[in-house]
Amino acid sequence: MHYNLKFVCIQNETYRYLGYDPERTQNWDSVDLLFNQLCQELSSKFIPFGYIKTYDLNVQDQAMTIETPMPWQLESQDLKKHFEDCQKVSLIALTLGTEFDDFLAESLQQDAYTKAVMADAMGSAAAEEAANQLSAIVKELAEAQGFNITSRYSPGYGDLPLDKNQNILQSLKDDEPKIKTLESFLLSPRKSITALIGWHQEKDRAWVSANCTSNCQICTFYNCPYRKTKNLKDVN
Amino acid sequence: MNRDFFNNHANRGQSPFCTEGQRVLVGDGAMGTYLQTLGLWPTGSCPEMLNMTKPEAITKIHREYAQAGAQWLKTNTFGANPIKLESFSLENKTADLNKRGVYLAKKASPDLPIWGDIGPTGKLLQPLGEFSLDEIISAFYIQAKALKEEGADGFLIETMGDLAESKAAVMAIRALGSNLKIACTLTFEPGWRTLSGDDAETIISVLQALNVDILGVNCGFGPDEMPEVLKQFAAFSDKPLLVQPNAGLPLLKNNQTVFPATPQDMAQAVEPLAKAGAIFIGGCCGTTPQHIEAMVKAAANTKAPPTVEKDFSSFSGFGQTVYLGPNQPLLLIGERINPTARKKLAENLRQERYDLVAKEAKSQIEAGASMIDLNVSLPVAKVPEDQRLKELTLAVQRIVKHPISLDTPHPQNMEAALKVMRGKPLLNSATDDDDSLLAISSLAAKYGSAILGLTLNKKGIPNTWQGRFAIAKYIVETALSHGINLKDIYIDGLTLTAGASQSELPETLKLIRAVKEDLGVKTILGVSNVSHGLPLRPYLTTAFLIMAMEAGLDAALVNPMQEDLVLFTKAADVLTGRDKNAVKYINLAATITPQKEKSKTKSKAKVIASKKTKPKRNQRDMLKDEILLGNKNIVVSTLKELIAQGVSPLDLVNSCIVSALNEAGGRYDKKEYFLPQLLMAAEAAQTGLAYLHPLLQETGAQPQGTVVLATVKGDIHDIGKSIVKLMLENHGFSVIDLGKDVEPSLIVETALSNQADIIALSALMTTTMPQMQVVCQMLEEKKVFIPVLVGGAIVNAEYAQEIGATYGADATDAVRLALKLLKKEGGT
Repeated sequence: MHYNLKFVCIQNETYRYLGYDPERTQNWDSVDLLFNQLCQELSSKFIPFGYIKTYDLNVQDQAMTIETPMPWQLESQDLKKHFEDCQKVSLIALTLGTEFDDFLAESLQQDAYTKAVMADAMGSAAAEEAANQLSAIVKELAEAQGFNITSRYSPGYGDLPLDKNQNILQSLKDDEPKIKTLESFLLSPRKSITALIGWHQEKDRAWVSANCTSNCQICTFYNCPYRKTKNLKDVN
Repeated sequence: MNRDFFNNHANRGQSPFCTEGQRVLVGDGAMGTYLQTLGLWPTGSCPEMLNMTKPEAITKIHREYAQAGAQWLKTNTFGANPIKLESFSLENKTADLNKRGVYLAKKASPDLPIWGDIGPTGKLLQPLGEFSLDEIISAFYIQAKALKEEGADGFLIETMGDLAESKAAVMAIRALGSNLKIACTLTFEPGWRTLSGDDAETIISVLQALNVDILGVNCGFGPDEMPEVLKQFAAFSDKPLLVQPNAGLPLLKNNQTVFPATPQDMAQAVEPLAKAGAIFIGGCCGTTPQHIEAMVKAAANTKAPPTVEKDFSSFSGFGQTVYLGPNQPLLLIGERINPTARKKLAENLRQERYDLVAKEAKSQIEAGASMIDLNVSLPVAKVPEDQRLKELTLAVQRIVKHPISLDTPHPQNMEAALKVMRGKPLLNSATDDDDSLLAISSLAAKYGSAILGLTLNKKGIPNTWQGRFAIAKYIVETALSHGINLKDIYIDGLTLTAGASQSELPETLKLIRAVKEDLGVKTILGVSNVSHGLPLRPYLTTAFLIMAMEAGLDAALVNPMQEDLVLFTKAADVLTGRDKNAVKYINLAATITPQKEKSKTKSKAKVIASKKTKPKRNQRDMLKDEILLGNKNIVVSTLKELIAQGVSPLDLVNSCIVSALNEAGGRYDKKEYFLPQLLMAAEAAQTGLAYLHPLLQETGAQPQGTVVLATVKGDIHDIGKSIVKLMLENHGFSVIDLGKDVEPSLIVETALSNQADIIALSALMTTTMPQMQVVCQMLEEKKVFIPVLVGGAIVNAEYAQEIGATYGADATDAVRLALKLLKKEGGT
């Protein structure tokens, strides 16, 4: 199923990506003005495009199988913990489109570095937000069938390898796919996300909220520069 | 219920129908989404066309809402403006569709008041979009005229994401009649700003000046989220509030948009919405007659808090609103953009270097001004004054959020600037001369601005306060008769010089008291004139300003750069009770560093002495500051001046540009700057270097070294790499940028054939990072030693060491390392 999502500008998230430190950074009006102008431009130009497809999930001792017409397996201990008790899984993907990449490239070509970098960060925040919008739809779909959902889990998290991007996109089957993987299994266009969301019927799982956008709590990449919670760098 | 509803209700926040005071009224719900639910609006068609093709269905919906108890109806004309209709090739039907819309609503209920519904055009205004303010106004005018002619009782402008477009719609309706009732509601994004970045305070400031009768919010959010923004509206608005929430936040279900709130959910929301300040509550997307029926029942005994007229008035700019009033600090209006006796500024204006002039706005704001006066009068100039004011307004609003005062005695020269102005400005100024007063009052009413009246007439300035009071009274009455709010009329009692007119100074102070008490308007004064012709001017100016504050002055035109003036007014804010509990003063003290404070408390004698010997500010330092603040439009002109003075280009690069970049890098490392600030500084430096480049070549200066730069094979992230390129070039490196997803062999070959000094590689993912090693291995195989610099989110120092490369944490680090690597190479 395809969905047109909304490009939302999120200032605090964008600034955080750009290294804004609320205690130390003395921001300028001109930066805020650039954000506002870009917000108007980007949200009128770009419509994030999303996919959702839901399959049965078969969790065995050794592996988890996603029962697509050509079933494939998830070999990940981290994800296994996450999907314990799940009977179904929604595969989701979304992209801001090649046009967004073109927009960044054009800005760079014109030597508009600040604009490009700001738009890049706004795009990252908007893609995350669009993934939240897709997760909310999955939640609705699941609840209609009496299920709860886990939080989003993407290739690259924990020990889930990036090559699963390819499996997810193949399973979402689109005649004119808007997202593809490169040899390195990175997604193209750049502002694209794939993820898995498990369906379960347990009521008391502590960390299953679909609205939980802060996955830093469960992420093991402690030195990530974008980590929201206190990271090891600060502790050491 | 009859159509006087609008007159009675909208004007006073009271209605004869609200016999119990502030009883909440509930209006109808959604049209568009309800049509969709009923299967009447196929995707891609024009919903207003149903007024023609399925009139009975539209009437039925109106009737259902009326039967549900709705206390007003909206016409099915949301998208019936010619710009939007053009996408269906229906622009020629604009009048018909709107008239039909009113007709059908009236037919469904002859008694209920009818709001002519006006939604956005879907187009952006200049400079972001292709449409001018006048074009958007014309489109709305055609729609509003048809709605009015068919007898709509008022207008509801709704779902606006841009305050400028809302303003255009209001202006179009106002062009049809100043007494027409207008409600205007905007749609907010998360963070409570509209799509264009307008906040509630600016929206209120601008729309109240245009005499919009009802303000508020619709769409975007469900009833649970709305109270938060309504409370902001209630805190600043003088007008009654309207809210139309969606039936919850939309969800996509089976590819259909679904609004989850039930009629009971919406009914439960009525009380919190009313408590937050909404006296009018309707429904937006997803609401149906069932929702409205439940809401009407819930509202039966619900009251909203009274609409209170605030004691403050406001000006606003592009996102910053400032207030004046009894409990507000003195508003300081920076007066320095005025070419009189400022040769350089006059020259910049003459040469249309508006960005350079605008910079003066920014420095005044930084010095403590909250508003900027723009005076561009020149005795002889190529460009007419109205164009100068317009261009300068655009330039100032590119870098400053604060409000503007348009300072010219010629009202006809204000309009071009008003067409592009964001926010609510001050029109400075009118006298009792009828031609100018009438013209300026019309402009203020039309564009929603405040006016400043000077108490002088053709004969000059009356000697007594009574003489000036008579003029003030005439100005206030004339402005009021044009529909300008009392709050938006300001009087300037005029400051004479202490040297020539000492005995008349008290008259100005008496006038301030009298106009405030008897006319109920606020006062503004230009104070610098008081010290004209006398020595030690700043002391006289500041002393007189503080006396005027004691008399009740609300705002002053000042030079905020004048030593200590801002601090004295902040102190006087405390002493005159404007700064309650000295909160602002104490906060201000916390921002002044001990060293600065020390210098502020230097004895006056010392200040005077040091002033005399203080050298003129070094132009090189100024250039450095321009770069540090990212003012790229000013860099080249400053460079030109320095070169004309005989400074060598190489010297400028080393002593100004590179040193500014190092400083910016240092601030970035300390997190005082974040990335956009570092890049704005770097862009400013690059502009300067691009200008100096040919001059440097003439002198035979060599680049620092050659760097081959690439994002590795398989990786498509090139933003970080581009930043490194910019920073390296700024530090004099020649950079060969191979782009992204680059084959290792191409990187090595390019480095060899160009005798590169350094190879710099970027990778963002663990899967592409090994490509860095491939490059290092190739170099080893070829037995060439070219240092490799690596960086990117996932790369770290350990990995770099492992593959025999050097790790750079970010762009400033890359520059430091590149310089270091070169030095090392030079030594061996």
